[in-house]
Amino acid sequence: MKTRTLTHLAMLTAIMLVLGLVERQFVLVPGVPGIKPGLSNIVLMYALCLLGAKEAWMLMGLKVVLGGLLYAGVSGMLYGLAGGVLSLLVMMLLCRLHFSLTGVSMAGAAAHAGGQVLMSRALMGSWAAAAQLPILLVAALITGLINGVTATLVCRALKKQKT
Amino acid sequence: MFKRRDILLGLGILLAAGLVFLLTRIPILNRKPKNLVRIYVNGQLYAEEALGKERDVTVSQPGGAENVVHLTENGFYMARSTCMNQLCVYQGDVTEENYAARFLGTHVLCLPNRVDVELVLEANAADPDAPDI
Repeated sequence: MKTRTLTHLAMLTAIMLVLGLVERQFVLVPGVPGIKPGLSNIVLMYALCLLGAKEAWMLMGLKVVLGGLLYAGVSGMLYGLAGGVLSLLVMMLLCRLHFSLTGVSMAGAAAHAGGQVLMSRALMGSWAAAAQLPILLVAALITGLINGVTATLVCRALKKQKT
Repeated sequence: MFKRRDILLGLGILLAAGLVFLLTRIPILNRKPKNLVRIYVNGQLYAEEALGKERDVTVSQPGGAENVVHLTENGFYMARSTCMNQLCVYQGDVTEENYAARFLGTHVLCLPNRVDVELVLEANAADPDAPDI
C-alpha cells in the first residue's frame, strides 16, 4: 500500500470517527432512540465511488472497531458491524446497478437499520426491536436523502480537483 | 442527482416500512408471552409451564414423594403434597396480583420434598444476559 493511500485512509477513518462521535452528543428525534444522521456514511460513499470497494470495506471495519473501542462499547460494536456489513453490501450492489448516489445512500441507511434489527434478533432472541423498524426506515429515507445529496456534491467537487 | 429508479427505490423502502409496521401489529404474531411457572426439585429445574389453562402438574420423585401443583389462569397453588407438615399447601396461592403481599413472594416451598415452585413474571422471564438497546 502506498504511503499516499495509507494517509488518505487514515484521514478518512478519523473523519468518520469524529462524525460518529458528534452524532452521539444529541438526540435527533426526541422519544425515538436509535435515529441518527449517519453522517459517516458520506465518507464511506466517497470511498466507494472514488477509491474502490476494498478501501470502503477497510474504512467500515476500522470505523466499527475503533468506534466500539472509543465510545460505542462491545454491544455497540456488534450492532455497528451488522449495520455496516449489510449496508455496504447493499450499497455496492446498487452502485453496480447504476443507481445514483442518493439512491445508494437511502438504501444503505435502510439496510443499516435492518442489519441492526437482525443483530438484535441474534443477541436477544426476539423480534422485539422490529417494532421500531418502520420509523427507522422512514428516518433512513430522510437522512439517506440528505447524506446522498451531500455525497454527490462532495464526490463531484473532489473528482474535479483530481483531474 | 436523482434518477427515476431512486424514487422507485424510496417508494420501495416506504412500502417495506409499511409492511413491517403491519407485521409487528398483527396480534397472532405478537402475543405477549404468558407468565411462567418453574418447578425446581433439589435445586434443579424440573418443569417449566406457561400459565393459561387450569391444570395439575404432578411432581413425582423416586422414594414416593409427590407434589401436585395446580396451575390457574394467573397463578398456581400447591394442591396436594405427600410431605409431613403440609406447609406448602397452607402457603396458599400465588397470583400475578398477590405475590407482592406474600411472605414468600413468587415462591411456594415444600422443604421436606425439596420442591420449589416459582411464578416467573414476564418481565423477568427474558434472558438475563440480554443487553439493553
